[in-house]
Amino acid sequence: MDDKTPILTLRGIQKRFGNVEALGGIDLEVMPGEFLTLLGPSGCGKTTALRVIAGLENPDEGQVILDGQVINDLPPEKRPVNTVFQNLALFPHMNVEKNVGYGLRIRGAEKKEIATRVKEALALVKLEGVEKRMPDQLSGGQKQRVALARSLVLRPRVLLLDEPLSALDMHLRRHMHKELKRMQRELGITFLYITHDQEEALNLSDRIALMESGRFVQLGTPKELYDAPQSRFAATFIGQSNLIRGVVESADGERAVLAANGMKLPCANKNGLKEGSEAALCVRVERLYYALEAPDGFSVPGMVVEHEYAGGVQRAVIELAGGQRLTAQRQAENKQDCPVGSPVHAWWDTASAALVPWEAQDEK
Amino acid sequence: MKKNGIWAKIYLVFLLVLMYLPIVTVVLFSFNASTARTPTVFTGFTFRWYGELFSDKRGFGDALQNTLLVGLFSVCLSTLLGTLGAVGQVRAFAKKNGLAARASAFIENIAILPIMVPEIILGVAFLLLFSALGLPSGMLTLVLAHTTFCVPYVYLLVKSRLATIGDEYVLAARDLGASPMRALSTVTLPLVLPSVFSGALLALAMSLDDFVISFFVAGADTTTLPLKVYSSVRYGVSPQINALCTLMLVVVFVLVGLSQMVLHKKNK
Amino acid sequence: MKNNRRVKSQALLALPMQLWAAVFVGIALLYIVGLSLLGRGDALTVTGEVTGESYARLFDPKYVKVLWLSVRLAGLTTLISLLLGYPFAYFMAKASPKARLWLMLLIIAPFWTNALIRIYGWKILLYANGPINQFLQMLGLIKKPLKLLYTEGAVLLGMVYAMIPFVILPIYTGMERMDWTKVEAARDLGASPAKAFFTVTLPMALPSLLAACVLTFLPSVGLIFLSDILGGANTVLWGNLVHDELLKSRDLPFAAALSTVLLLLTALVIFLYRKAGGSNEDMVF
Repeated sequence: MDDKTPILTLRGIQKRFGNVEALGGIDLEVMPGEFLTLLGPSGCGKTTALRVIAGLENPDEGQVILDGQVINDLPPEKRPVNTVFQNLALFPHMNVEKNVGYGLRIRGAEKKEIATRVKEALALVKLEGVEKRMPDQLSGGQKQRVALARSLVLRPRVLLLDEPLSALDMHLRRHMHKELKRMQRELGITFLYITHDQEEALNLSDRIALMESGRFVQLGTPKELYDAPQSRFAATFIGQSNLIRGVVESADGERAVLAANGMKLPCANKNGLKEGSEAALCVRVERLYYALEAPDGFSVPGMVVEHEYAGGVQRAVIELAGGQRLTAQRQAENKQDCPVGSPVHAWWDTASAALVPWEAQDEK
Repeated sequence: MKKNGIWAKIYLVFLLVLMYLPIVTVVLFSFNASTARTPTVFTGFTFRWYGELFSDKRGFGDALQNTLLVGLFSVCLSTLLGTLGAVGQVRAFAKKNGLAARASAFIENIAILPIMVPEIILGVAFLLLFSALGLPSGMLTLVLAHTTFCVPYVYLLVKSRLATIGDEYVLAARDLGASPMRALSTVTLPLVLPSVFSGALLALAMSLDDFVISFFVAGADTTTLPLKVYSSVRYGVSPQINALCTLMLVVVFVLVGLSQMVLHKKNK
Repeated sequence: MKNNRRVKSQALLALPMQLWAAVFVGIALLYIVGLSLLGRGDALTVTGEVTGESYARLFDPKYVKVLWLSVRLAGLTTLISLLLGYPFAYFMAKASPKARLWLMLLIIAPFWTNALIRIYGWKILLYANGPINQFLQMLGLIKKPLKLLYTEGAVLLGMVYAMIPFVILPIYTGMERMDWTKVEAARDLGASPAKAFFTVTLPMALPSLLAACVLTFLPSVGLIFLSDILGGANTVLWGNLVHDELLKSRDLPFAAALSTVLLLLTALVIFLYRKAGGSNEDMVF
């Protein structure tokens, strides 16, 4: 398999429902064997994008290309992609075995082959011994696995997963993350995953496509999205950030200085912002440090106004001289105590804090 | 309710007694030995009327056979029409095209009219339409008429079931490779089957029970059980009809009892 | 798009039913309306001329009286059935699941038996020398048998009797779906039982009450055999009039006009029902 040729390409996909624009022209290339996540808040169009790929929805404009062929006109049953639906949609009138074998039966496979492949699929999702149970006799996690097996047994070119874990509790969800990665590794099938949970996306994905209002706002590896957000939306949607709003006072290649609340803050300028443009500095809460004494190099003075212990971490809100409030989070052990009211110095790595443009539309 | 408990019980019992009084009366008088012209005084116990009923001098056998045949045919036809109708209409409602959806709503309102329009109007309408079409009164017209008033029951029950299950299972089936028709036969129909059955059962009850519409469309030579009962009791009281009614009641109560037992078992 | 067209082609599955309904309901009813506007020919035929003659005849006091009696009896039937049936539905909804099952069975079973049989049972009971009169005489409450059969009262009794399941079942279904915590909340906030009933329970139960009214009023206004059996020749109702004009006087346009007016009344009731927010689905339970 040539790793340079995308298995699935979306080109200029647009979709409107009445007056509402669900997809405003999206382009995407999915590489073979990769785990790509569409991440975005509810209503951002990620499910619509998935349904367009599955053939459950027709785009108004644009092309869906699978293995080099435009498949716009193929009905869902003719597309070699399968979906794990958010509500799973296990057929309530069929037992586990019948559910998993459904696609093979439809394709007219032989009984023997169906039996073997269903068995393999159930083994893959580690769900043996419940073949004869009906869906309503299964636990949430078991249903999940049946839905996965039902799609995987057909060996789709791309497996589409529409927030399949949203009904599970946190513990089970973490466990399923590992399982999904394992299955994907074992099968080498391309996964296109949808979620609104940034933590899930960071955990699972090779690449993340961040969506907002029917458009992709940033596409990259989890690390790229986390370290170098390109917009205020990306900075706030992924991870917890402090945003310091200001104006770019000087810009010089990769470096810039932001003037905010009377402070001059040196920072990295990966998004190439120009002098005089409105911008915000994004400082991750766990990368904002504070101490009673000033460190060598860059720091700003402030005062602790709130303080809380949350298990292994401490969280503090620090008010800077200009009134700006920043949240900082740090491991609790071996750290000097900074109770409310303590004057502190706050600092961050000026090379890693990202500067993002402050767009007019962000005002709302 | 606790304070009113005793009054509530009295009221419930009163209403139930009222409900069963005429039924018990019919059964009781089927064993009445009186041979008066209007035998409303109980004079003694006899099985005589059952004997006369079974010797069938008055053609009850034919009436029974006709009733069952009409019921069978119209239930099959109306179940088919109503079920497919509900599936098709739901698809039509899903169309983005407002005109198509509105046309379907209009047709639905016409199709379900028979459950609201007084029976007498339907009877007259069928009689006049069938004679205008040149259809001879008899089994055919009975089946056509019964099918027409049975369709809405099946239709509405199946439609509401379709609305409950939504289209998620159909989409899942198509995603797994089923054509629209395969999805219909392997997923949608099995899922609505319980409603199809209850619709068919309701339709059967309506068909077996119908008197007014049958009265208008049956013609002179064809008779059904309710028609037979009516012609015998209109001007008087007939002990044979008491016996017949008792048998019909026994059948109904056994059937209702059985169906409840089956339902009860299933729920457990 | 191709794939959606294929799903939507399943709309065609409704075609047989649509055609069936169009012919056997739509055209059949329009045909009556059409006939009512034509002149009377010999024995069950019509002349080609368009005339309102049949409608003019409806204003003859002897017909007005019949129509009014039918509407009045149907209205009374609806009212009495509601008053008698509502508490039953209420107690049923509030009863324990087991008691509920039994009450349901007891209500449904007679509903499944032929209506003729049940009305016929009343006929035996109401005869001059029937069980009720015998019973009353035995108690010494009356000297001479009362005339019970072949009266308006007997017809009303029969109508209420025949219709009461149609009141109990939809109201019960509606109550099962109701959110009773709202009523408790109202009581908790200090509403008297009566006030809670009128301000909370009743508005919530309204859709099913409306369905019950429609399901009771419309069939009873067109009843025919019931008045024959219990009312005899003394109580002629709308339905009997249609029957007699068609099959005895053989006056086709007049019978059609009588049916058309009843049809219009039906349409009006359904229209009001929809206006008040009723749906087709509430009609089947």
